[in-house]
Amino acid sequence: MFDNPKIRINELSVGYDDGTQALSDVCLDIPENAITALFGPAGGGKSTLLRTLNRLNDLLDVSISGEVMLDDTNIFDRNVDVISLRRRVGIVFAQPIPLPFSIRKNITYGLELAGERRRAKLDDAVEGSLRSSALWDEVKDRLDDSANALSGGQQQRLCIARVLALAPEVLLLDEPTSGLDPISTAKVESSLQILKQDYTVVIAPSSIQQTARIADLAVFMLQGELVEWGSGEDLFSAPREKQTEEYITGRFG
Amino acid sequence: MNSKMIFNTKYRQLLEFVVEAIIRISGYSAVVFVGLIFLFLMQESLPTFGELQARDLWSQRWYPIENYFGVLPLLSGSLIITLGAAFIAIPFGLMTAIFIAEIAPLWLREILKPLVEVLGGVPSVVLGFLGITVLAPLVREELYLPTGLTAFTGAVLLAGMAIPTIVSVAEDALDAVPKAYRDAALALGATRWQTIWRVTLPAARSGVLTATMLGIGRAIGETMTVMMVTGNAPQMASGLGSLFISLRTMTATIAAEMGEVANGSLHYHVLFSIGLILFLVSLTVNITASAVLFRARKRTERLLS
Repeated sequence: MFDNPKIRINELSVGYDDGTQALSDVCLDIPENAITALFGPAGGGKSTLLRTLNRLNDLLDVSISGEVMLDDTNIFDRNVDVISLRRRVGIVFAQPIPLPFSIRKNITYGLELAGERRRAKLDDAVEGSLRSSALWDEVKDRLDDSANALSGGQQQRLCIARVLALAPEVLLLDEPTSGLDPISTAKVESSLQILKQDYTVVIAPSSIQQTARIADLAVFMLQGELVEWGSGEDLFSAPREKQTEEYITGRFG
Repeated sequence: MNSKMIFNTKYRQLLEFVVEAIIRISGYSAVVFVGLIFLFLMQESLPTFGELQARDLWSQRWYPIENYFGVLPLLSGSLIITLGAAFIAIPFGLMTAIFIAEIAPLWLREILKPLVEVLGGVPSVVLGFLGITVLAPLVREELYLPTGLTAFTGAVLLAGMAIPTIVSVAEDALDAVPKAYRDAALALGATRWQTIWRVTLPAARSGVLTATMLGIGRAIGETMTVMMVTGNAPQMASGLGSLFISLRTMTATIAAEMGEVANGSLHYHVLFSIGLILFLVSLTVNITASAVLFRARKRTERLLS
């Protein structure tokens, strides 16, 4: 179905130090330039999987086995630089958390950390990334205002822009629209459709309906295991597994 | 039945009134006490200005037996010792707070935090004792000074007393910064140190500022330790070099001389004037701290609304 995987996950298991097994033997190929949607009831390991893909879980006490190949490198290799990995694999969280700076500074911050000092480059990045996340028209006249003054939907698109400014290859989104109203949600979803042309998008959608709307590849996760995956259309019209069918028809979850 | 209910209602109303009155009085009493202390200090110190010219007070010689009442040596002594203490305590305290809040693993953190708070509870006379027996000889020998009882020794010990306050308050402030800020910064490719320095610390800045103010406030008012280790010589402090001579603070002067002074004499009134100065200084520090905190809180409310 997809013959150009960007990320190959091989027998990945993640356990937290309190004994919970968050992921068990997950194998999955994530295609390039497509939206991969991880869905399923809470506690299924969606967030853990996303956070593992750019090694944000490193800060917690976790035990990880298996491998995650990004292009041709295993991201758990000893000589992988975590900082540059996180620049290649950006993440957007459920709660939009603008850093306590201005709108402009929120976007240039990551670039400045990476050592970019040229004013023109930074300005280009601000405009470009805000346009990609469909926020530019709403904020172009007040880039120096505090980012906290934006509405929730704007903050979330700012957080997406902030990640895009780093020109990542993979964009991870953990329930990016869970706190948003339907209009903002629609804006974020439509910007994702544009973004997937340039990026590999992995998303944990906020709802089954959202999964159905945006997924190119839909992946159903239950208690740390992949139950079933397939193209969005196939999976929602003709699920192979009973659990998947029960979940998408609303019988549990 | 009916009359009993009325009685109950009246009784309850009375009880309510009494309890409320007691709580009200307790609340106002703090204000009243501060006001009374201020009035008392004014009353006892005002006669000074009838007998002494301002320039007599604002002079460089403190020698009460010969009627020299220049408070500048004491003021400068307090100032340089407090500044010295702040210079040591603020960076060290903040770094400790950062370590406990951001870097230390959980188990270490659970040991360190209570330990720091215990350190804050060590009586100042015990610290002064350690200062005389351990720190002062060390200072004398290592720095080749004629005596180890110097302003520097006092500043180091005062820093030791201010650090627990700074660590405890600053650590709480850092801990209150949402974890999501850290995740967000790390996800943007910040290193741990960049996250701490450029995101967590600025986000906690009002709490961190309060921490330093409280720490400094503690250092200014401290009496026993400085009286024991600074040598108590009322010399003028005129620069960094003065850190390594014996000095005397305002607090130590009052504590040392109040017991021996004739009630109602000029000396007695001057000591109260010094008390008044101290009172005003610590009031200023406290008001500044609350003002900063208040402003920060207002800003947060504005952002959240």
